[in-house]
Amino acid sequence: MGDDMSAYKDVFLSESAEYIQSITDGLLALESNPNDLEPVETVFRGAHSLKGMAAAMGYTRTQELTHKMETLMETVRSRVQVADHALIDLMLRATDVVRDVIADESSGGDTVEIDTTVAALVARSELRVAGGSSEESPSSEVPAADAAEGSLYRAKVTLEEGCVLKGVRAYMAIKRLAHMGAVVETIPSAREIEDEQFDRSFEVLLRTKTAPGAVRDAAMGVTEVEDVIVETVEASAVASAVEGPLRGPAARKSRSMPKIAETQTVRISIGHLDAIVNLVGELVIVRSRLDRVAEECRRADLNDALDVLERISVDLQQEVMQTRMVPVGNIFNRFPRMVRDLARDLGKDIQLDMGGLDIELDRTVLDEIGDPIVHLLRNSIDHGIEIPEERRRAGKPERGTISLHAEREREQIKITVSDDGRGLDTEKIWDKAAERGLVDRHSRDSYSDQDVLMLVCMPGFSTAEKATRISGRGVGMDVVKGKIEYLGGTITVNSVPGQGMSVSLFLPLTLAIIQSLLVANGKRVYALPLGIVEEVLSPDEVRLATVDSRPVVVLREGTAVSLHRLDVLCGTATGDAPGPDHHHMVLMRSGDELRALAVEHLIGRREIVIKPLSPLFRGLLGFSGATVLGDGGVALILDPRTLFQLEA
Amino acid sequence: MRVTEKGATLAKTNKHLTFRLGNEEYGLDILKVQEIIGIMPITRIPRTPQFVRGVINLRGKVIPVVDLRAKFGMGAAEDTERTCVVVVQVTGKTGSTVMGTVVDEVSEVIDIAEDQIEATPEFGAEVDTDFVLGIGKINDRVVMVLDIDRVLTANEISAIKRVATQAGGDEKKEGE
Repeated sequence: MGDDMSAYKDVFLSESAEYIQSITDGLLALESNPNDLEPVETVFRGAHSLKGMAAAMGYTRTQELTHKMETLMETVRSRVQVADHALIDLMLRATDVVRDVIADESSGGDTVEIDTTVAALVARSELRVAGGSSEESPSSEVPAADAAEGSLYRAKVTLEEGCVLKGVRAYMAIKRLAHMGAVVETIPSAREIEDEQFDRSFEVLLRTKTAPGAVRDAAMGVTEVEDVIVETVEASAVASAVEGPLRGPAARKSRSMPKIAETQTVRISIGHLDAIVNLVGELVIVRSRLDRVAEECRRADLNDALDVLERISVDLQQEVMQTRMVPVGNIFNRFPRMVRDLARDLGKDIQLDMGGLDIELDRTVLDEIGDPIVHLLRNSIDHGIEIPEERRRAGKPERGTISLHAEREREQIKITVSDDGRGLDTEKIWDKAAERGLVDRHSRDSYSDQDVLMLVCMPGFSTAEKATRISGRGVGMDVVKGKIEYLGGTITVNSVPGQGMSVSLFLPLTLAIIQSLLVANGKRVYALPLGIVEEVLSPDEVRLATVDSRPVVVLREGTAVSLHRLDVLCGTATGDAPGPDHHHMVLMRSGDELRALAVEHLIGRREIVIKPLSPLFRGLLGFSGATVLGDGGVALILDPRTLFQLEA
Repeated sequence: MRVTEKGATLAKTNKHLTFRLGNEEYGLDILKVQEIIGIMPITRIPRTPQFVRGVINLRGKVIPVVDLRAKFGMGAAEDTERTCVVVVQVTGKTGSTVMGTVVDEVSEVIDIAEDQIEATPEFGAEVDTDFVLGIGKINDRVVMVLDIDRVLTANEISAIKRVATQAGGDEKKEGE
């Protein structure tokens, strides 16, 4: 059995993570609305399912802990107890311990201790005795109050062939039925079912007032249940006339719906996905090579075939990139808990509104933005939202609101963190920046308020009067900004003093394949991410000038933009190279600045596959990666953030 | 199985790939060698030292290429049709990585038994011999057995940035 179990461990681990998330979500929902029974159900079922699965895996500590959580939730469900803050706190802590103990038990460890938590859960559960309930039997065996009435049904449940965790699925199906009425008997016995001593189907005799269709739906709702046939054994006076045995075409039809939804999702390892993306990248490269060959061959049939290949590979590429897209909700879902805990620590009352959870981002991007968002949220909690008294005095509702929204804007994803707190004071920022020597105190007039707000993103800037446990730990907005720019994104800060602030992150949809502008100096080809290119000027459009003895390009509206030669930056300049007036100028954004990059040739716009440079080149300035061109050669990808540091 | 520890490498395999740089013959544990390819266009990376020839496209993967002549302080030579890139897997503290090494000519695969390898003589502080495991003597031939893991380390490349300004200025022709 040990070997079999290890094969199921991955399934167990990923499913248990989902249950833990739904328990957490349920608890938070319950906290904001203690009278709503729906989240109670969610938490109860989550704990219950975990218990069943842990039992099947032989994880006794997880089983015991989740059992106690279930028992406590049962007291809430039966309205013996109210879900107050203390209870929610306790349950959330217990949920954390469950996560730890699962990690511990699944890796064969024996370090996570559950006794304290179990004792606390038991103590809280027993409060209900004081509350006056005399019910003794544990939750699971309690039938619905009037279960003795109703019809008697025989439900024959068949599991899918090759069902993993058979005993658990059966157990869950039986539990669901038990919620509707009284389970009179199971064939084989409940014990045998839990021990997986049955083939693929088992029978449940159930007395309930619920209609047979609903009974069937309940059992069908359990994962990996293939079919449920419900027969009326003994109809109650009311129900018998209406409903007969439910099977045949009607039953088949109703069951096909959830089945399709389930089989449409497949869990796939990230390694496979990355390999597929790489292969598609190769395909894109080979395709552009073939295009070059075809240009020389000038054969109509070859061109036709290439057109088809082009269409297919574009579609394939889109599909594959789609498989890497993950909804932002996947990382957002851990924030409500974090916001709640931090707010309570600080004695603040904060509500987190989230939106656009279904907006999708490439997994590689998503993995990277969790920390920056955490940082922004912490800033809002710690520095943005005021304590309730202060808010009341300012005429605001005591409960502060932080909102976290994702939306799609053309080829970018915009993620905004905003709050209705005290906002940023531009003059205070200015003073601080001047104090830190980041700006010249007397040059205030040349900065717009927006420019001043962006100063908070400069290294060495922190407006926090004192560093607190939550933010101000040496990582500041400059780290957030750096991370976002590393991902090829941008950041904006807005604020209305007294009314709050918002920070928006603009992120590319994907990192693996990007649109680029290919440029060349001599035979050396370089790629520039198209996202940062503002405009391209041909040599005859360019007006050159000198400001403070540095070369600049004068734009149409009269603005001067500093001029940089790509060959100088790359150290490839030779004495006989043409002067800058023979160069094309690429106006590009580097951080907040617009700069002009002088290049000899423009090759054109290309879709390129980003290949990382070897780890041996860690810390290399000026280049963020490489790409393979149609002729098989390698072109370096210019990194707008560090390229101009090469000039020093 | 890949063995990385110095010394242990020799105990595990006797097979060595030998190649020439100028008049000298070098040997390399065959288990480290992934493949041998002919010289191809190499894209130089600005502001890296001379011994980093640049990067090449190895069937879709972009890998760095090191010039052993430059690394060992030998004079540069024109690439010929015998010039090869030996693709090796090097293992450092931070994991293993694939890179190419340019050699003048690949000779053969020979057995060098452990007792045929003598410790590297000390040439004084001027000469860095860390990457030479020992000197193999087979009949009348002398083969310098390399510890390829030490020929190029990430630290060395990171240090490049500081010297880069001068090195980048006198960039040589690229392999095109």
